[in-house]
Amino acid sequence: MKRVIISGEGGQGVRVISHALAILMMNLDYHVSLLYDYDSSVRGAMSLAYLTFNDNPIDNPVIEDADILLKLSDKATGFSAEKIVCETGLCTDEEVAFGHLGWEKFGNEIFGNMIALGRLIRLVDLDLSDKELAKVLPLKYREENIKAVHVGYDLKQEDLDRGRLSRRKHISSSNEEDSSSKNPAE
Amino acid sequence: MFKDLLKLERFPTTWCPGCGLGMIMTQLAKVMDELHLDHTNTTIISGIGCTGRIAGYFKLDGVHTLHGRTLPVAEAIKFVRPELNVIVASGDGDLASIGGNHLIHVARRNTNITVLCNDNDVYGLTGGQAGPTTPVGTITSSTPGGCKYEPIDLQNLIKVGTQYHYAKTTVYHQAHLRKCIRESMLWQGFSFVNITGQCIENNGKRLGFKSAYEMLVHYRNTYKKAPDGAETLGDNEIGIIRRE
Repeated sequence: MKRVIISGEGGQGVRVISHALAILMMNLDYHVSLLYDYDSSVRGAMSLAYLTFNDNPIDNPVIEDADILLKLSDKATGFSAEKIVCETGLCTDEEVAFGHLGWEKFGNEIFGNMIALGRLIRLVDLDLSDKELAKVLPLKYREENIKAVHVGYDLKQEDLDRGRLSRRKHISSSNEEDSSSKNPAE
Repeated sequence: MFKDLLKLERFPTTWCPGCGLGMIMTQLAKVMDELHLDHTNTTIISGIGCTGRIAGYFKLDGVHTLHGRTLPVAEAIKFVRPELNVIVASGDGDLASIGGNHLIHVARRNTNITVLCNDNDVYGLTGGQAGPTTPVGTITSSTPGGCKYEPIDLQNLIKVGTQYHYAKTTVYHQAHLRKCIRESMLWQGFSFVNITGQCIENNGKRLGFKSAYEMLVHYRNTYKKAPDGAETLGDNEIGIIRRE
């Protein structure tokens, strides 16, 4: 059994990622439970999805200790997970610059959510099939989305290291800004 | 496969995020698959309200009836086509309030139909007004000072007949929910499954729950299995009681 929590904000694709992964699992004959938790605010509010899948029927949809937590935003906190995958700067486990990769490879950071889906598919040990993906992804930008999922699925160590490096850069540039802004006053 | 019974092209469903109805629908589809029930031998009748949408997601002939009239329609179908398995899926408001009188008499006549009642304590679709199962003291959109009336006792209502089959469960207890639906479907007579399910948007948040997740944890902590052989289910007990 695998338990996955996907955490983000409205507009980041938590629902699309979790729904696609859930249907993908169901089409592979797993038992799947998907519980959404998001507010009626469409953009900016906390958005969560609890996804459980198993070879056997699932007893309940509650996830207390997740196997994987995908964190696209820090709006929601307090989860316990064996492995945390996050957008740069949100954790210290596995940081991936999903948004930046989306912008770099497809011209829009929103493709970061499909890259994150690809990473999740890799982490739950699923084989990637374009045919199965095409069944579960939204019609709009389907080809680009499938390519983005492949990017996430094929992330290499250097890509993962890049997330950490950009965090360090981000921290050091913030520190520089802080010190330069203090200088005039000093 | 159970998913062959569902109109997946209509997914995601119309229900609010965190709603318990999807879990009921899925477990019903799984039981139907196990019992080889499909469009050739089964029909689903649904009422008005969020739960009434369940019938529309199944690849079966069904009737989306007037408010409160699921049971007479289901009973009529059973009389005319006794070979059909007739399932009613509706909410506590539809079944126990406007349809309450039908419920008593269908139970009394012991007509061979199965009722799945999504019991979320309120009229969820219309904004969370107090309904027949709202616990006394509960703040709802129509009872800002707390509901003054005791809720209807569905268990004893179903036990009005000489034979009965009553199951109580929650959406948290998925395996038990499946068992309740399966045994009710196999029961030769009237069977009623009372399923406590969360309505986070129009009930839970008013009660102080932050999310559907919290409501499910509350069900886990609150509801316990009734002792084997119990003839009556106590408050916060889940189980199946029957008399042949």
